[in-house]
Amino acid sequence: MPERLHLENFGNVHALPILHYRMEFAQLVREAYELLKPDCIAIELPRTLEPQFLRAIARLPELSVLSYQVAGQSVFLLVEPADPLIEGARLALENHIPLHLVDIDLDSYPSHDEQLPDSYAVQRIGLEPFYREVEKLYRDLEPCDEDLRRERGMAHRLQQLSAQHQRVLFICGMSHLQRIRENFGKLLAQPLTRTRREGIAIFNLHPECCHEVLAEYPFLSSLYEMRRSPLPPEPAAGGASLRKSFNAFELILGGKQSIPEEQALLEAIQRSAHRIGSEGEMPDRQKIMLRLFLEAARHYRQETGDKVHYWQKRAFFRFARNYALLSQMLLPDLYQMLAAARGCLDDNFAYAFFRLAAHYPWQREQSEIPTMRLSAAELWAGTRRIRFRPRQQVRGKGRSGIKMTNRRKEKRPGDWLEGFDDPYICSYPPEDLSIEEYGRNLKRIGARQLSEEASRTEPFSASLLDGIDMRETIRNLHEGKIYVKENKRLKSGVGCVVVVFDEDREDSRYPYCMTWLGEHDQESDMAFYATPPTDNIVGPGISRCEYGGFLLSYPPRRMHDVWQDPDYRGALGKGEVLLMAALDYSLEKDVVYAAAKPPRSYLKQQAARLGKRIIYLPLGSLSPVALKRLRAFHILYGKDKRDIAKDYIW
Amino acid sequence: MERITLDGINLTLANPIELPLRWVGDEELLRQLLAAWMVIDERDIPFNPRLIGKPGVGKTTLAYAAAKRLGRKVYLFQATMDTRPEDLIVTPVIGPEGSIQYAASSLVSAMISGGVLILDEGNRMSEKAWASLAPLLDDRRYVESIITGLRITAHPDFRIVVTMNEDSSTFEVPEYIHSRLQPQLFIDFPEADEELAILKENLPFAGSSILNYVVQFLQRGHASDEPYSVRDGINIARYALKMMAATEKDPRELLPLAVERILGEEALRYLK
Repeated sequence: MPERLHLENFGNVHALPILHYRMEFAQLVREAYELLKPDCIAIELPRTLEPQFLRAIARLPELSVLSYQVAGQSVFLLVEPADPLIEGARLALENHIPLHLVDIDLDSYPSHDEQLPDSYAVQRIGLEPFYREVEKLYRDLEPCDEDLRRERGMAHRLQQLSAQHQRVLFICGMSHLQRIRENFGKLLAQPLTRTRREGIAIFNLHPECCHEVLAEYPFLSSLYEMRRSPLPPEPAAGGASLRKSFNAFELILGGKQSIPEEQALLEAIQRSAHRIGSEGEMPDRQKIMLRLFLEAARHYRQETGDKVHYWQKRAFFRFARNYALLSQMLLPDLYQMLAAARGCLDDNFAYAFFRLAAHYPWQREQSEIPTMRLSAAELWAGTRRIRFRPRQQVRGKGRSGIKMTNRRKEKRPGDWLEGFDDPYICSYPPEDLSIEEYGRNLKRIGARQLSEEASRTEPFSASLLDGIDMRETIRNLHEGKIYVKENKRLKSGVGCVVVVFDEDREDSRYPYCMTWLGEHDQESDMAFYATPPTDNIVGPGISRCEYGGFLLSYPPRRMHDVWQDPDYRGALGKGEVLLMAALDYSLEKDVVYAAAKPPRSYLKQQAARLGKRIIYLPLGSLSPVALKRLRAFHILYGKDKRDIAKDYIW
Repeated sequence: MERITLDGINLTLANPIELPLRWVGDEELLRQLLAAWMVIDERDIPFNPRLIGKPGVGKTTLAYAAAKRLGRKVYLFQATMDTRPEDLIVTPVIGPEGSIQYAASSLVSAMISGGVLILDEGNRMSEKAWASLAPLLDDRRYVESIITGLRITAHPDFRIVVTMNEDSSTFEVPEYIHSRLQPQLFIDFPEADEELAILKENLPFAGSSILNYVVQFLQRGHASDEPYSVRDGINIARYALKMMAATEKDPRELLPLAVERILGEEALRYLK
C-alpha cells in the first residue's frame, strides 16, 4: 500500500493539498492531524463567516447551510462531515486548538470549470503523485486576478500565524497551494479586503434535500461520520426489517409499535460501517458502493420477496463502471449508480437503493434553527435527472428529478393498522384485470404450442396446404420435390390456467390459501396460495402479498373451496392441488400448467382418465418481468380502500 | 451489394442504412447507451442493451445516434411476429440461373463488418427467433445458420441494441433472453425544453409560437399519462402548417383541427 499522506512544507507551515468536498481528503486531514499534532489549523475560508461557521461546525453531525447575499444572488455554504475544510475546523474545535479562517472575502469570484481527476485515485496511488499531476495541470492555467488576490491574502495571514505558532496545519485547495508557497517567501502587505459581512444566516438543512445537495451522497457521508468516533456494536443479523409484518392479534387490536423505517436504515449503515475496513483506515469508496448495493438488495428482498441474481449484480457493477469511465471518473456517482440500479435490476430495487443512499440518520426536520429546503439546481450547476416509475402506470406523470417521494410512509408508527377494522376483504381491480389478461395470454401460448406440435410437412401432391416449407424443400433439393406445410389448428380450447411460482414443499412460505369467486361475468374464479396478508402492510388496510401459485377458472361462480376438498388429498403440495382442481373444473379439454417443473406422470394419467390434457409451459419460457409484475398482489380491507389504494401500491 | 465467402459458402451482405436522424433529447441517455457498449479490454465483452419506452419517444433515433457517435456502420432489422430464425441469420434465395444463393441478414452483415445492429421492436419476435440469437448475446458471440451449416462469429466491434415498446409484447421474452438483454434503458417522455428542441429540429421552418403551443399540449398530455408522443406533436404541427399554407389561416386556429385529425376528439381537452 503506498504512503497516502503527503504534506507540502514551507517554514513551519505544513500544507495539505486537497480537492474540496471529497471524502478521501477529509480522511487525509484526520491522518495529517494525527501525524503532525499541530498547535493551529488554518483553512481556506474567509474570516467574515467565522461566527456562523463555528456554530454550524458545533451542530455536526447535523447538517447546516450558511447563506448570504452577494450582488443580489444567494451564496450557500454547506457544512457536511465528509469535506476536508469542515473536518479541519472540526478537529480544531474538538481538540481545543486555534482555528483560523485565512481566506479573504470577495464580492465576486468567477466560476471555474475544472476537469479534475477522481479523488478515488488517492486511495490507490497516494496523495503525492496525485498532487504532482494536478499541480502540473494548474501550472498551465492562467490564474485570474481574484485568485491571485486571495492567494496573496492567505500567504500574508500564514506568515502571521507562522510567527505565532510552532506547527501550522494549513488545508488548502490544490489549485492555490503552489502560488501560496511562493508568496509565503515574499514580503507581503496586509490585503485590502472586506472585514465584515452582514446578513449571514444559518439554517438546518431539510432531511429530504440531503441527497440532492450533499457533495458526497448521504450514505457515504454517514459512514464517514460514523467511523469518526468509536463504532457502535454491529447490529445482529436478521435485525430490523423494512417489511411491515404484524400478527393477526396486533391487527385486531389496532397495532403495536412497528419498527420505523429509519431504524432499519440505521442498522444498514452501522453494519456497513463495520464492514468497509478496520477502524481508522481510509474508507474505500468502492467497498462503500458494494455495501450500499448489498444492503439495498437485502431491503429489496425484504419488501418484494425478490432475490437479486448474481448476473444482475455483475451487470450493475460493469455498467456503472463503464458509465463512470465515460465521464472520466473511476467510480460512478449516485446518479450513475441509480441509473445502473434501474437498468440492470428494476424500479423497486432502484427505490431501495436510493432510499438507503439518501439516508443520513442524524438529520431532522425540527431543529433549534430554521430549516431550509435547498435544491441541487440552486447549489450545483449541471444537475441531472432520473425518474423512477411505479410498476403499474397508475400515478400521474411528472418528473421529480432524482427525488423519489412517491411512496407513502406511515405518519406515525401503527398509523396504517387503523385501516384494518373492516372485516370485508377485496382485491384491487387493476390487478384483477391484469391477471385475467395474463391468463388469456397463457391460454394463447398453450394453444399455439399445441398447434405447432401438430403441424406437419409433406411433399407437394395436390394442395399447397398452408404454403411451401422452404427449409424442407432446400434440405431435400436433390429429390427435386417441393415440400409443403400444414399448420393444424387446436381443435378444443384451453380451459383453466395454473401458474406455480413456488411449489412450497416445506409448506412454510405461502400459508395463505384462498378460493375467490369472480365478482362479475368477466372475471374468473380463482384459487391461490400466497404469503400471509399480515406479513407486508403497505398502506392503511392494504396488504401486499406474493402468490406461490394460482388457478384461474372460467366461467365464474362454480368453484368450491379447493383447499378443503377431500378429492385432492392425494396431492403432493399446493401446486398439485391447484392442478387437480383445474382438471376438475375445466370445461375444455386442455389445461395450461406453468411451473418450474413438469407435472408428475401420475397427474398426466389422471388427466387422461378425465379426458383432459395438460399443456406444460416451463416457467423460464415466460417473461420474468411479466411474472414479477403478476406475482405481487394486494388485499384491501374494505371496499373504501379501492379509492386510495393507487397511492400506496408500488 | 458486397459478397463474401465464408467456409466456402458465398454470402451476399446487406447494405448499412443512412437516416436523417439526430438525437436532441437527454444527453445522459446517449451516454448510458455508449456505456453499455463500451469495453475496457479485449477480453471484456459489450452489453446488449435494450431501449424501452412508449411509441414515438425516440428509441430508434437514440440507437442510431449512439451508433453514429461510435462512427460505425448502422444496420436495422425490423422484427415482426413472423420473423423466423433464418430471417435473422441467412436466407436462401433463388438466383437468376435458378441456383440457390445465400443472403446474409442485416444482423449477420453487421456482425461480419463490425457494425451496429438496431433490432427494432424486438418484443414482437417469437421465442424461436430469440433462441437463435442466444449464443450471440452471451460470451460466445456467434450465430449458427441451420440452412448453410455456418457458424458466424461476431467481429469484436459488433454491437447490438434492441428497442421495445412497453406493454405491447406479441410474445413473451423468456428468462434466458431477458438476462442477456441488459441493461434496460428506459426512455421517458421528454421535458418541455427537450420537447421544444426536438420539434424545432424536425420542423425548422415552423414558427416558435405554434411549437410552444404544441409543447404545452403534449406536456398536459404527459401529466395525465396519455400516450401522446413527440412524433404526434410533430404530426400535429406539420398538419397545421400545411393547412395554413392551403387556407391562409393562423396556424393556432388550425391546431384543434390538427389535434382532432391526428389523435382524435378525446385529445382536444388538453388544448387550452
